[in-house]
Amino acid sequence: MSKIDFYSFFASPPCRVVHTFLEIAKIPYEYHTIDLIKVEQQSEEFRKINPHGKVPAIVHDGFLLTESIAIVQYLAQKFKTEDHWYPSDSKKRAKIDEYLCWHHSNCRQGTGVLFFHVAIATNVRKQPRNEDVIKERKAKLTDVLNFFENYFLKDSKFINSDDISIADIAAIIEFQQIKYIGIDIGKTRPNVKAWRDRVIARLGPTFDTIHEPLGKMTEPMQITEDFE
Amino acid sequence: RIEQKVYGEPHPFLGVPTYQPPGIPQLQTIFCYFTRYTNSWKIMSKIEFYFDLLSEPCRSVQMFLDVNNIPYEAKYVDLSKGEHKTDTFKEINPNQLVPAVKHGDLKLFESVAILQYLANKFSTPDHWYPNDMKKRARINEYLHWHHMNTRWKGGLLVMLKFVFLPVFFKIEVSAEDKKAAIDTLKETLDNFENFFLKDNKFIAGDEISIADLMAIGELLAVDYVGIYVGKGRPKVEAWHKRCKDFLGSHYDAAHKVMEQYRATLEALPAPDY
Repeated sequence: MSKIDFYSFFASPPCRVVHTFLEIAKIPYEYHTIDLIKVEQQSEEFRKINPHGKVPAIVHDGFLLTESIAIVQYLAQKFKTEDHWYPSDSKKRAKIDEYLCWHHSNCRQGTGVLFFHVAIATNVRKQPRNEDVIKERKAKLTDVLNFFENYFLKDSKFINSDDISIADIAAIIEFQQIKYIGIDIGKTRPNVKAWRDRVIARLGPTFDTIHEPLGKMTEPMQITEDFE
Repeated sequence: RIEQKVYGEPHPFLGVPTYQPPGIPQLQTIFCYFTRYTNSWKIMSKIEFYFDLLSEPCRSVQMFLDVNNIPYEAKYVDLSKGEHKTDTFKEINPNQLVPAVKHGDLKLFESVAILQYLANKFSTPDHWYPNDMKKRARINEYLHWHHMNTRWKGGLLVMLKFVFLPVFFKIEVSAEDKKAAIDTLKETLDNFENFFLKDNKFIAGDEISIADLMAIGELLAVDYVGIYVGKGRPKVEAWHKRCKDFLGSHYDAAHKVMEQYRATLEALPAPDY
């Protein structure tokens, strides 16, 4: 089986999800940087590979695929990774799929959008701080974390499961970015705290390496957002 | 409100008579069937389907259950009466939304996850959610794009701005907001046509799949406020017609509640589309 051509950029959370899984599951790949700051995703060259002009994208033996969740689901099945990543049992798989669907209009809406307004819009693009949106997104984050604490992690060590899966990778990547704006998701939520530490320990040095460029970008900003 | 389906005649999908043990209440939620696969009798619990047909994803799941003859107990959750906020329903779905299903000891929410589970568990015809990894990946690609695009930047966004906020919640929506919703819908339809539908008969290719059911739910919701997504888009119109023909009476059954509201909704100020 030939290796994956992986089109990605460090600043995009969905890209980091795919990158983490490729590394942790030891899937052979070649990383192609598509610089979103330079808007390379719109370039003619990239559009020839992916007409949709989005990252992450993979090409495998001529097969193009976008959407980070669909990509990791495909990789787990194609490369026959360990069952816990995306269980073959229909009930176990259904509970992982339940999280992966909820993720889009919930987790991501309380993390990525918040990070964007606090770090990128204000600090990189030098726009005035949009307090209304930031307040609204923090309220969303509160709901998301409460649901994690009281449902997804209530009776299990990982999301809806006793072992780590692609659901945990998708979630931890979203939550990790807000660490760089000074938000500790485990501050008042013991289940969340234990889960976060467990997942990061399990993902090992790969996790730190993948986050290095993001750390470098945000460190000079010295942001500490208020959040309980 | 609980509709109980009783099976005694040969099951059209399984091809064998199903048996409903009489007089034993706790067993009335299961059915027995003989599977040629293992040459044995199997007992499976019925699906409990929690729904309100005002909800687009509920319509998608109901169409799938009906067209595949999957036995289920219909559990109506009246959204207008806030039945989704009750403690009883919270036991079924802590997220307090519809659709939700209960199957034996499994409780599941999120319409896409429900469709994926049903297709796997009930071994429905392969085209709904193919076993071939590339075909399945193509459908998963659509299903994950769907949430923040077809739904939140498409059908649901327009329904929110034109119906749910102003009519149900009595929150005024400005003309600019409404126009922005229409523009966003148009952009989503462009992406839907260019990256997913393309020149295919259905999203995944030549055959209908769960991707089409989800798309139909959202995109045809706006028909009830006078926006036909096939207007000026012959590919979308042809796709819609193909889906409708395939689903037949099951399409009509899923949309019957919305049809009752059609006259009321179309009497609202018409969107500029």
